[in-house]
Order: sequence, then C-alpha cells, then structure tokens
Amino acid sequence: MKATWKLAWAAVAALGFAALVEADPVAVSDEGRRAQAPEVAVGRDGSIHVIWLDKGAVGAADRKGKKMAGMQHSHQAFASLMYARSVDGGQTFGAPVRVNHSDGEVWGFSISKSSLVVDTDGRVHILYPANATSSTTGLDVASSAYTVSTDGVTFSPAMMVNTDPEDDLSELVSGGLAQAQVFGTLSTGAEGAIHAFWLDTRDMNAEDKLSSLFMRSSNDGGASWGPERDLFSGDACPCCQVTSTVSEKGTVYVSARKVSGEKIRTPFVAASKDGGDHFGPRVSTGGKPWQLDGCPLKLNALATSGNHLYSLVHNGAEDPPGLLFARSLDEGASFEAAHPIHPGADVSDSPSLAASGARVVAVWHAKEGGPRAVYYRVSNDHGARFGPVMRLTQGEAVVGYPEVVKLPDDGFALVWQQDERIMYRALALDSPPMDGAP
Amino acid sequence: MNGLSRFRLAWRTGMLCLMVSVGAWASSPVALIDAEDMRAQLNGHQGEVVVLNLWATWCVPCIKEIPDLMTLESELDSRGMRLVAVSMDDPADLGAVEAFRARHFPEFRTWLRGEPDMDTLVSVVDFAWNGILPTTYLINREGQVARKIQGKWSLDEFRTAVEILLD
Repeated sequence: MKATWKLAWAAVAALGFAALVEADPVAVSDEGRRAQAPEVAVGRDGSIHVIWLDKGAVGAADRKGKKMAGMQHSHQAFASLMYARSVDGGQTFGAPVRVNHSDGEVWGFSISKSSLVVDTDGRVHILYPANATSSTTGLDVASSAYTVSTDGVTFSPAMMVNTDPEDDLSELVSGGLAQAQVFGTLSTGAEGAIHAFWLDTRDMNAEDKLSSLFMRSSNDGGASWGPERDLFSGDACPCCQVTSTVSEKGTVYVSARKVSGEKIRTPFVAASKDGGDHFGPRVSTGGKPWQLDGCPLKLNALATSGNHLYSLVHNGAEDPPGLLFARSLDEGASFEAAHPIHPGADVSDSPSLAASGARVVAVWHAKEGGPRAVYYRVSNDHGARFGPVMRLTQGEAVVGYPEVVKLPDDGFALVWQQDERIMYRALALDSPPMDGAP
Repeated sequence: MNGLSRFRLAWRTGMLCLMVSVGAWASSPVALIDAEDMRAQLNGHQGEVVVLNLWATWCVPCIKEIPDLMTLESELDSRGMRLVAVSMDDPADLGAVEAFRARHFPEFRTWLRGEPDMDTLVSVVDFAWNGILPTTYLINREGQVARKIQGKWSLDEFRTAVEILLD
C-alpha cells in the first residue's frame, strides 16, 4: 500500500499538479459513541471548531425510540449535537461538549446536517434541526434551533429562528409532524451579520405547493433577529438541504433545489448584494434535468473567492450519478457548463468546497470499484482546471460525509466520518501553478 | 381418546398456537436487518419475484407509496411476488419507527436497517446506490436486479413492471 502511495505522489509531482502534505488524522469524537455528519469552521485566530451528531453509545440503540414509542410521539430522529474545539492548529481537540440542552433533542441523521459559523469576534453560532412542540398548536414539529457560544464550552439556550405556523400539516409532512422548518444553514457576513436559512413547510398543500425557502438575519451577532422572510415560496424541494455563503465583498449566496414541471429538481443559487435584504433571480448551476418524485437529500456545496462562485452538487440524472462542478465568474449571475468532478467513479456524493485566492479544493465521497472513500481535487486557477482525483482515505473502514474549510494560513482542513468517529486532518497545499491540466 | 392421542392433540394445538403467534410476531414489529441477513433474506426468496423497497419515515413520497406496495403484494402474492421493505431510518430509532408503522400502517411488514451506514446495507443489491429514497429494486426469479426505480411509482406502474417478471 505504501508503495502505491509513493507511486501516486511521484506521479502527481511529475505532472506538476498540486502536491499535498497531509498530517496524520486526529480523532475528534469519543470512541464508543456513534458520531455522524460532521461540520467544521475556523476562527480568525486559527481555532478549529467541529460539530457532529451523536446517536448514542455504540450498541445502545433504541433507547430513545422505545421511550418515545411508549409516548406515541411522532418524532422519528433522535440525536444530540456535539462540539469540540482545537486551539493548537488541529493537533488536539478538547473534550466534546453537548450543544443542545436536552439529550436527544436534535432531529438529526447523517444527511440532515447542522450548521456552524465562527464570527469575527470568535463567537460560535450553530443552527440545528430540533424535535420541538409547536407554540401555536401544541403539536409535534421539527424546528430550526439557534444557539451561540462565546467561550466554546457553554451554549446559550436554544432559540427557534422560525415562528410556528398554525396549520396542522401532519397529513402532508413526513412522519406525522405537523410542520417542519429544517434542513437549514447559517452564514456570516461582515460586521456581525448572521443569516439563517431553512426549508419551511407552511405554504405546502396537497395540490401544487411544496416547501418555501425562508431566511432570518441578525445584524448584531445573534443578539437580536429581524423578521423571518419567505424568499422563494412553494416550489423548493422539501428534503434538499440549503447551503449559503458570503463573499469577501459581502454578497450573500443561498442555494437549494427548485421543483418544476414533472418533478424536475434543479439546484440553484440566488445572490444578494445588499446584505441579504433582496435576492436576485434563481440561477441554475447546470446539469441534466433530474426528474424525481422522491427525496434527493443532496445539498449544493458552495465556495466563493473574489467574484468567483463555485458549486458542487449531485445529479442523479447523470450516468453514472455523481457530482457536477460549475463556476460563476460574475457573482452568481450565470454559471459555466457543469462537468463531473470524478468521472471514473461508480457514484459520487456528499460534496464540500473551499476556496482561497485562485485555489479551489473540492472534497467528496465516492466509490471507485471498491469501498467508499473520501476523494479530493485541487484547482489553482479559480476552478478552470483541476488536478487529478486524489484518494484521501484508505482501507476498509466505512468513511464518508467529508467537509473542507480554509485555514487562515491558506491551508485547508478536513473532517469526515470514519466508522462512526469524526476525524480531522489538515492539508497543507504546496503546489506549483497548473499548466494544461484537464 | 387414549393418552397418546390426547398428547398428540395437545402437541398439535400447542404447535399451531406457536406458529400463529410466531406468524403474528413476524408480520408486525419492525426488526433490524444487517447486510448478512439481507443477503440471506433475498437468497431465501430465490424463485420468487422480490420487490425490495427502501423507505424512511421522513420521506413523504416513500410514505405515499406504501399503501400501493401493500396493495401490490396482496394482488400478486399468490403468483409469487414478495415485498421486502426496509426502512433507512437510523437503527437507534427502532422503537420510533415501530411506533410510526403501528400508527400509520399497522399491516405493513418492514425491516429497519441494522447497519450504521445505509450504503453498507444497500450494497448487497446495488454497489452504486446514490442515497435516493424511495428506491425500489425489482428482483427476478433468478435473484437478479431486473429494474431499479428511484422516486415514487404508482400502483399501475408497479403492477405492469412486476407482472412482466412474474409471467
């Protein structure tokens, strides 16, 4: 295996592509716990912040389920959200702390991720899907809960960023929930701006209305929040996670999937150049029309650098189904033709992107004739060309759900799930300019 | 009736009660299934047409499809069709999935994935599953996947496709 790696590195170096110096992976979550769906963010001071879902101790399944079944409760996904921080550049992580105040409060599974951002003052903001009771109907709902930590140890009591609609849509919403305001994301802009986005069922009906894309913003670091707003009403894929990012110039981007015609699910990006007050039209990030009367549960990974916006998203209409990369050179007004990021894969999914200057790092999990592994590619020219597909993880472990983030020193950091533990690894890129890479 | 006959009658009655109770148990509560069990389950249906349906409690199109799948099973059971349903909810949520099934589809027989990772289980039939729900595999009498269906189908669509395999 070592010889294979050496050959691979030699080939990469010979081709002049991005060479990568990888530190050893570090376990972030505790052994013996079922950890899933990691997210990572980096503070201005270089501190590294990781959250993940905790589904309980290994082998201790069903505890919540039995309890809730006895209560005839309709929530189906019980988890807690854990947080850990590294202040030594990812060499070690502190003991995990629980974000939610009540055990099992999180409506979570590996493809329903929570979101975190670290603002310029070092505060850690988190949005997670919560099992909740509607304040208006008293019925079971899933809501978007927000919490913040100033010390990385304790978190504020959860605040639901969405209001509770009055309608009981339990015949339409899955699992008997009366409403669902979930699959959300956070992004942070300049001067304390925090934007929360989520998919909202309140406009849904049995005829022609699906989910709506809602948002709510805070301009004081989460201390107070403006009113919630219905950005795109009634045609959003109800079970496709929302993503968002903010450029250095302050342009706010949000992405979800629009459903049109015969259940065509098109990933789109909408941009706001006034700090989230108004959004422009939804622009498709490309790919073949994907017709599906089902749950894709596929997010559109975004990253931005200068006027460039990058998108990496799964398309089930491709053969084989996989991830398509596309870039916009005009702040999301249009996208160049999308192309597969991993053409040789049997299937690729779970995308993540990070960008710094001209460099773009794409990370995902895929199968290439063997066990699922984490792969990446690096571009040094704003996503015009990428180096070869590189495999990050080896062996037979069950790995996946990677996330990548830019570090202050222009390096990048990765987290992923490996046999239900959360792993961290820094990537220090040492790469000459690319010349003629496909 | 001599003592031996009484014993035989009691034994048969007891066995019948046991079989009925085992049958009732087997037809109702959700049970975990891992990759090895899945392989055995499908091997046990060789010679029959299997409709393998992957669903989840949080997947609205999946839930809308369940009544049609149950109807399909009742219509085509005598011709050799078997419905094998597997919930892709987390194994830790076994009790909650069972509560959901009992509340909404009390006659529905389903497994719950017993593998921590969904792909580990689905790889038994589909190496390159992309996580879409619902996904339904039509498996022919030779045990081969004859058709992969992603997204909700109508009863008519299922009936037409399965009858081709039954004929």
